[in-house]
Amino acid sequence: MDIRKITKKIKKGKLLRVEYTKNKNRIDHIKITGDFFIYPEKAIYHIEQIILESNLNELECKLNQYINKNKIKLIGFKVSDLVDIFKATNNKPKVFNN
Amino acid sequence: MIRLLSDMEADAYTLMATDEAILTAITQKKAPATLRFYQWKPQAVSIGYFQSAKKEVNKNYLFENGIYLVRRITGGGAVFHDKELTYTFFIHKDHVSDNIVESYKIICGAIIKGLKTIGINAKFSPINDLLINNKKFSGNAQTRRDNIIMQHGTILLEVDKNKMFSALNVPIEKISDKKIKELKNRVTSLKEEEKVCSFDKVRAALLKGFEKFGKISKANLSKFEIQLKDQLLKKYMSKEWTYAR
Repeated sequence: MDIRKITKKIKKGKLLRVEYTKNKNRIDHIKITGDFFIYPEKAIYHIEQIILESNLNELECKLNQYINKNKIKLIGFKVSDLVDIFKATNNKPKVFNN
Repeated sequence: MIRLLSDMEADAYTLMATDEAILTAITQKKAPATLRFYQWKPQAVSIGYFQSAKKEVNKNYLFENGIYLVRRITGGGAVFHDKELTYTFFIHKDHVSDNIVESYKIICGAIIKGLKTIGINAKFSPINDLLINNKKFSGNAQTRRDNIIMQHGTILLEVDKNKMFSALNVPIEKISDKKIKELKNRVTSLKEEEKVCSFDKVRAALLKGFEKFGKISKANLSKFEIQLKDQLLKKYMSKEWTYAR
């Protein structure tokens, strides 16, 4: 099992902390925390679910679809900031802690 | 008309349960636009909706010092509440802005205008901070429910930075003493800036600022809001809510 813990301060934005575990190349647990804002707030659970159900190459598209369709507002980070975290850590060692 | 509630001095759970009760009442059209001022007794740390309590606060320090911990329904960062004035403002978005970032600017603009009447020159720093001399003395956070904006925020009257940075988890092992000092220097209070800082004086100034949204009249919480607040207390005191993320 891979455990990844990443903290990223978004330029002119907020702090994103992403913690996830991978099992057989699929993310099976994820928690996104930080001092950002999402409206409505409960959308965070849908965002995490989409990440669990998506491949990395389709993640940005699926997140954008959900956000646009449901008029979700992200303040302090963008979808691409979140996706970049997964792209940057995808090939890191099995236990990754920045 | 904006309803001005009596000032409240209460524990973290009561304060946050009251905010949510008022927000619910307004969304159900059982209460008008509302402004309230309050203080946190005992001292408390509030964390943002999306934050991890385990990561953001020093739980042992809080326990040893009798500091309460509460999760807010608003996003944003962890705040150490001590000698400050806290406000919550509830208003329909049509009176402010549909755009969230813009609405922070407009509501914080009212605070800036009010503070100016007592000689305090504050500056808005997007997304949600207010600065004096480029140092933060006010953080603000907003949620929206059924087109009603609820924005709460703090005005630091005095600050014990050692206590603040002991209560909040600064990853000390990762940053040097110099960086901790820099972090502390980015926070200030009205007292530190040598401004008059009584709760009542700042409160009166903010009232002038908030008048831009309408006439302000004193009123009380309704029976519905009081009952709802009492029910919501359970949620705010629960580990499930506090450690939800």
